[in-house]
Amino acid sequence: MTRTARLELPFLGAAGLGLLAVAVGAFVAPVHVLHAHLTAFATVLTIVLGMLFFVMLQHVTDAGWSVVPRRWAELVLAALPVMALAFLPLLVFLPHLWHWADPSITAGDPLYAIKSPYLNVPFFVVRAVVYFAIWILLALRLRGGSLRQDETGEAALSFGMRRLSAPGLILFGLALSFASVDWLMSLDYHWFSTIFGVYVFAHAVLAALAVLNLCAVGLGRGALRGTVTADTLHDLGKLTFTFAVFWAYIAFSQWFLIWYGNIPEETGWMLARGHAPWLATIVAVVVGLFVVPFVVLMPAAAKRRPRILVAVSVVILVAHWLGMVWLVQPSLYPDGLPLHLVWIDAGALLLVGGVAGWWVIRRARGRALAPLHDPRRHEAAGHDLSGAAHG
Amino acid sequence: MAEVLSPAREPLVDGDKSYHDVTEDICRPLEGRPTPLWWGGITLSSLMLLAGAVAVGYQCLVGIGTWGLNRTVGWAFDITNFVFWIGIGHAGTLISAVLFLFRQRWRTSVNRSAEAMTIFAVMCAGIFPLIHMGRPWLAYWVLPYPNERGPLWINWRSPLLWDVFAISTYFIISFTFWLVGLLPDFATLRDRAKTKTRKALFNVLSLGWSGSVRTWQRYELVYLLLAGLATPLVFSVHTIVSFDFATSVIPGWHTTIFPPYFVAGAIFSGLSMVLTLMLIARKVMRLEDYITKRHVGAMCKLIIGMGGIVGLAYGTEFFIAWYSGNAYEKFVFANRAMGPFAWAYWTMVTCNVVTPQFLWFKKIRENFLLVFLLSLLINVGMWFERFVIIVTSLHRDYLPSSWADYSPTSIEILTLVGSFGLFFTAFLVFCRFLPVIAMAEVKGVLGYARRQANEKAYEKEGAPS
Repeated sequence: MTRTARLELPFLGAAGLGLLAVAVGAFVAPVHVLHAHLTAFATVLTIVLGMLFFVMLQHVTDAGWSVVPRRWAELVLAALPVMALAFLPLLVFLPHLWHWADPSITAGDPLYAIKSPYLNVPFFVVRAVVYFAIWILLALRLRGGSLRQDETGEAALSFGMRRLSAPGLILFGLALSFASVDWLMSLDYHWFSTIFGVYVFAHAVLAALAVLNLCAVGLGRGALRGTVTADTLHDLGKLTFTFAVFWAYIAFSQWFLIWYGNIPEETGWMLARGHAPWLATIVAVVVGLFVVPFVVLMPAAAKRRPRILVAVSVVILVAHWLGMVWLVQPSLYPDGLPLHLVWIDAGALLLVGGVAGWWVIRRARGRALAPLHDPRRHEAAGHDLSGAAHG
Repeated sequence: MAEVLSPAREPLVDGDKSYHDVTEDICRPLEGRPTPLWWGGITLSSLMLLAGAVAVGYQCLVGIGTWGLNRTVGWAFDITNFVFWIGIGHAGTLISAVLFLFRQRWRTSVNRSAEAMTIFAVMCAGIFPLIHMGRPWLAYWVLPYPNERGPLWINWRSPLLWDVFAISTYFIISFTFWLVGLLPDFATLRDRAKTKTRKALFNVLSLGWSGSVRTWQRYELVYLLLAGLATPLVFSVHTIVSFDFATSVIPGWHTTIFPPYFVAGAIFSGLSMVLTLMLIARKVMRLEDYITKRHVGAMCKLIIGMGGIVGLAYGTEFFIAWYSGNAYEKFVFANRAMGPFAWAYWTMVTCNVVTPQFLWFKKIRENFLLVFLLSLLINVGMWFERFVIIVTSLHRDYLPSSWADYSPTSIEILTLVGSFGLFFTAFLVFCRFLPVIAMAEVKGVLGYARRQANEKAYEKEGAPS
């Protein structure tokens, strides 16, 4: 796997560059660095969690077509401990990000008085530990089990992972929902929206699929030539299309119901994100996460073209990051992100993404990039589209 | 034709059927005389339908003052039934369209009857808003056609109007999809017909199906396109229904999670109704070889999944009601769990959250009697879910002086009974005259076709370990 080893360097380089930007930024605009880091953390973590969901979904549905892409998602799961480390600096500077932890702001706030049993520092930390424990344990079992199967060839490992994935999805859903409330929704601790966890989930799966598309095209030209076929791209493209629509559906539902209901306690959050620069941001996000994938990936032929799939996936990933900026930064900058400081945001993303990516590739050294003994691997290798119609 | 399938997969159809066996098994009951069981069933369901028809006639003559509604509870039994029936339909579209796009082969044995169920359920649902209009003979006023009534014009900002379009679209697409799926089977029935009229009838219904490669190719393309068009409807219809409530500012109704939560609940209730129907049809029509433990198991697993989403939504609603710090939100949820309708609330939680958990066990999934009973419980639970959402959010509003109670009148109950009568009558008539299993599709998943494909695939690289 020397090919993948060669990828380690660019990721490390990116991380180094990011570190430099963040270090300089810490002197220029320290609070901005914190928000930029939370944005980058949320951007990368949601991608990794999207992968975790993808792996469990494939196990639970006993899917044959996705055996090969599932392996790439499994390899990405190695990034979870890195993400837990990336969370630590946020904990240190907690009150600067989450104002409910700042007594000078919450003093005399009756709403905080009601919410304090949930929104307090010790419980917040305990919950974060629980979320990461759930994700990391699931990842260890799913990544480890699949890699062990490469050596032992036991089909029983697959059945074990399927059994784990069903309850695993429940734990995943709970952890992701509450983590979204804790880390993103409570940035404005007055605001609430029941669909918010689903919104973050939609972001996560769509972005993860975009990364899988990039892997598919990259590996299909390199290490996995012949294993990754146009059919693999087609199937991944269809799922990408599906989740682009799903994201739009959830995003629309949230916006529309808040707009129609027009109750001040809900509209505040939307209004803060719905004027001038932030409006432009969310429009760009809608274009990137919905309009582009929807229009471009509609024809069957487009999904099978590596170049088109790569272009759409890059657009999705940029929009995914912008979407996270839109969730996080308005709580610091109600009037729009100061454009002369955007390099800090970019630097934070390079740092978190670079370290996570480097670690994933390092841990993938010597591992097969397609499962060797999955009992359904023949279906993946031989799967064709004649079954899409009647068959 | 068939894909490569792992040897780890169990066959979908039991009994090592040949293509001819399938045709015989499915067509023979349509060509003979109905069984006494069928006569018994249709007698009962027609009587229910008749009772409902009488109740509906009475309501039209006297007015909807015959219902138990009052100033505070302006929506109750009728809307509950409407949402219940609309929800039932969703599993049909899920199975026929979404699972088709996901290439889930097990859908072939159940999709035909699930789609039929959708159509009948939408018909049942349509009755309730129609009656609630008070003057059903003026129902066409909701349609945007040029008229001379001046400023009297439908309210585009009302989600109730969007319902009109969502549901009529849903009905048209579901019906078209069902008819298109029936084409090759109509042709089979035509080819087997003994009388001239029967032959002519099925020839027209099959649109003169010739069975040529070109016909098949076009047919499959149309089917795929229709599946793609029907898929958004699984989401849009119940999303619009959820907007009926969520666009208001009533605590318990206005919450952003309603659209996906309603959709998941609809699929959940629909799947349990499919199970209820299929487990009966399986016994009555002797389809044991076609609807096997794999089909039932797959549907049970989908029910667990959808039940999980519904459970997560219940939990989220409750948590956010507290987290919001809004006194009215909090009150509505406390009132649901501990107020006068607590019995309905706990029936809902027990049936919808606890019941599906039994299906985690393979032993239970393979015990069809238990699965049948559990599916009935989920049907009950999902009816109560809508009742709880609608009535408990209304009956104690902001002003304690206007708090009121609600109980349905016998007329309302009879109307519900009538809708069940319509549903089962329609379903029994369908079972009698049309093939309940998509023969052409089941033939594609028989072990015979599969073995051949696998042998070819493994010839090259040796059998898998």
